[in-house]
Amino acid sequence: MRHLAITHLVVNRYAQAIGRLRGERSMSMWVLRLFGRRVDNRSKASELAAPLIGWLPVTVLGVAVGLVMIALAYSAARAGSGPSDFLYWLGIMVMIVSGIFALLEPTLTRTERLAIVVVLALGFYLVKVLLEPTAFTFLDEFQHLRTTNDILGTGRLFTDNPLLPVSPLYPGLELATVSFSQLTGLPVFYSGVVILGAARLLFGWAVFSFYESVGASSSVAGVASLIYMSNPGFMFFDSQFAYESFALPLGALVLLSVARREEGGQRMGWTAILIAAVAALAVTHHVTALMISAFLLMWAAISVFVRRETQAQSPLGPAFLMLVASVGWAVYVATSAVGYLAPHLVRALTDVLDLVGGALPGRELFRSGAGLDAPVYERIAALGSVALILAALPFGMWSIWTRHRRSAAAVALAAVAALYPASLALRVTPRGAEIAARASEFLYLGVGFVVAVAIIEFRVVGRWTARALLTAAGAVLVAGGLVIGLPQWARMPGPYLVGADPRSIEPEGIRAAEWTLQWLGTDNRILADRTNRLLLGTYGQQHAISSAADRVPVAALYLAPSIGPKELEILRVGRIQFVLIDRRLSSALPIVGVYVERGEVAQGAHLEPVSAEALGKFERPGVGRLFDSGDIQIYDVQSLLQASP
Amino acid sequence: VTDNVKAGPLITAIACPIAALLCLATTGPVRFAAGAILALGLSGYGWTGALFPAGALRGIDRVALTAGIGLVVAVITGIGLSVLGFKLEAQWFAVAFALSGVAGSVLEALRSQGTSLRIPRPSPLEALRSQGSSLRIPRPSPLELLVLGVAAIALAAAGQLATVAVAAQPRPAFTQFWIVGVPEDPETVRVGVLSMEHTSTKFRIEINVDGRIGVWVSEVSLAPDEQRITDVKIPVNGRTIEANLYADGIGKPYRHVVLYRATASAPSEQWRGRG
Repeated sequence: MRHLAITHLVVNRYAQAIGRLRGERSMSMWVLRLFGRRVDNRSKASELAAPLIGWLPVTVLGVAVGLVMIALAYSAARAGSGPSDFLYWLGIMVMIVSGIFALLEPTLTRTERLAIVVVLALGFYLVKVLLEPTAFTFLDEFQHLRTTNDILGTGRLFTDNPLLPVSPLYPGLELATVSFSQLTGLPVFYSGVVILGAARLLFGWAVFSFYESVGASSSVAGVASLIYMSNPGFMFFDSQFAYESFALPLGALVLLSVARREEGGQRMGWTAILIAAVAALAVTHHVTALMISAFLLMWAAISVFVRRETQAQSPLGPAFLMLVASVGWAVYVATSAVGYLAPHLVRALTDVLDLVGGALPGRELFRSGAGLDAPVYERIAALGSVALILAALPFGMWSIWTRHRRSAAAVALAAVAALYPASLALRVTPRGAEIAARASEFLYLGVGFVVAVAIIEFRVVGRWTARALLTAAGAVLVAGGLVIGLPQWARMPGPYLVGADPRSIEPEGIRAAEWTLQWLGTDNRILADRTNRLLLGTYGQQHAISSAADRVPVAALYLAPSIGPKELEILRVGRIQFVLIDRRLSSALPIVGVYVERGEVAQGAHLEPVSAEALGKFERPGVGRLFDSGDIQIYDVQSLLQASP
Repeated sequence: VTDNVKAGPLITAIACPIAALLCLATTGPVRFAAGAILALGLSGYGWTGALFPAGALRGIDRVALTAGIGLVVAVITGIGLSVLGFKLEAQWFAVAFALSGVAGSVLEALRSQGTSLRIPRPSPLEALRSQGSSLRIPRPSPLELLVLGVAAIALAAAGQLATVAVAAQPRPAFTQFWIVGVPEDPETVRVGVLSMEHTSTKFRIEINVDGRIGVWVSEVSLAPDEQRITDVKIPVNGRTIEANLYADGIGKPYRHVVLYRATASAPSEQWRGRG
């Protein structure tokens, strides 16, 4: 009896939706005819009830054609010829438009909507995979590749990772990848691609189903899922081989389990799924686990006020379960996680306060550390996407207040969406921008729902002109999110760039790292710049020194103009055996703003490239120069250690 | 097994150990297929059957949840194996995944037999949600098949294009040149050249000891991606060993490396450059 009221309400909504479906004539009829389906008024409903008809094949084809265009764009960019940007955006637009236009079709069945959402989610994932289809190249990917290699090499968890010390303490992604690699015999890279593809399938389904449960409508769920996918991190950051990419689908599964438990039926099944997903999430990613805990607690708190009216169950139990699991893992296993996360948050807040107080210059939007500006059309798309969301939020909030305020989950999602404008303020400082970018995956959970409710409840879907306008707006949302999420130089392949993370990964550096493994053995303590540190830590299996893992100011030594007492002290404290110097660094400013690691410049950014003299300071008697590949030299500095007091 | 047990759980329960054995006993495509099915299919499918009745979760929902449970099982079994002291190796993963799938199938069989574990019937909402989604996908029309086929070909083409472009990307040429000591022989150094030039290139290696030019000289011609490693005897008292690499047509040293002999007494410690 407890769930009868809410179940009755939800069933009625579905029945109304199906009733509307039967009484409307729309574009899908035309497409059905095009596809050889006989459609008349009597057979329309039964034809539409069947899966894999109507818009789904069109969307699949649109996504596939879009991906071909993107692959052509990547090829042109690698070859340094052709209109790569044009092809890229054309491909993205074909994918987006085919998906959005289909999702706005009011006569779609629930299965079609869900399938289209999943196809789009997988398509967006493949945009990233096609960028580098043979190896991991993003910074975070190297950090987790190191942990994966260590597990494969030792058969044990919790080994040291000098690239990201907290990574081995949250081994969910690595365990899934290692198990798949061990069972199938696939190399780590391809195993990771498959595992993240499966996770993306789960993500698309779980997000859609969660929205569907909360909004009691597959139409809302379809549009909300699409808007969620427009978040800046979705296409690249959440597709990379990193723990958050794996944790977000698990988080969505947790939310879905809680929502379905509230509905009543199959309570035991969803409780089992909930417990398993909570356990997996707690050991996969700290921030995602905490964010999901916070959301569930907020949901539970809100349900105290709306419970009497809806008879819905409070998610307090799942909230505490998630909180205890994530905090428990952090306290008993991942003890260094707090020390890793806290400074980032404190510094970001300090930056914002300093900015407000005028003590810190603001961050220049759409400009890289080396002064590369984003094209005007990209800026317009980015600002347009923000403006569209800000414009739609009040309507969605109003709609939720008038129609969904009895649903604690809907109100909780609205509360999350209300934080979105505040997150924009963080983007004006460098560290705040990173936190805002990381927060977008969670804030868009609310933004997607609220904006979708505004679109669906205000019944702007169905009319041709409205659909065309909404499709254009959706395209701006996704394109804008893409621009905000990743700058052009990182989105496209091409020749080597200084300090540009994926664009700095190239054969000379990889071969140098492999040389260290072959001729120096493993786990030597080596100082290097940001890019070569990643390569040494993975391809070279070395202990690449960092201030985070080794508590020594490595950037101060690497960038120092000469070797003095201070530099010798760093060598001694860091027990540095070898130094890898990349002479290309003196040819340009670093695109990401730093040569070695964050904080190397007190304020602002480098104004001129590091000098050739600074990079040549290890050319001195007694210091062996063991390796030379033109741009890269490796020095044996152990004699300096013996010389220093 | 009684007549009341449905075929589904029985097949899953039998398939799990077979897939696990194939993972361990075969290689290549068979191992890949067996491993992928075991990791992302069978282990999760067994549990979706155990936890949800046929009417509550169908079609795409069951496929997605099956993959999701497979991922969750991977994480939990990995942590479990580690806690129990097992090494995270193929045989233990295979056993763990197979056991997971079998456990789910057994539970499904028990629940379908009307015990206290019986699966409740789908609620009206669940039945409505699963309306139109069935494991049996209606036969698509020829045109739909054509469209999906074209899409599949386009996807494969996109993957191939992107992969070929990586290999074809123009890269700057470079050559590695190195020198390291030979720990077991204090009178020998090892010199190596790896050519990553775009064409076959002639190199000349010149070794100088304590300022004496040309103590050892050699010429070598290397094709792209070819390397040459040479052990060179040097004078007993030599302390500073410099090696220059001259490339075809370049007058000044193309690459330059230096090795210092340490003063440590043990032969294995006399050469720096060995980690």
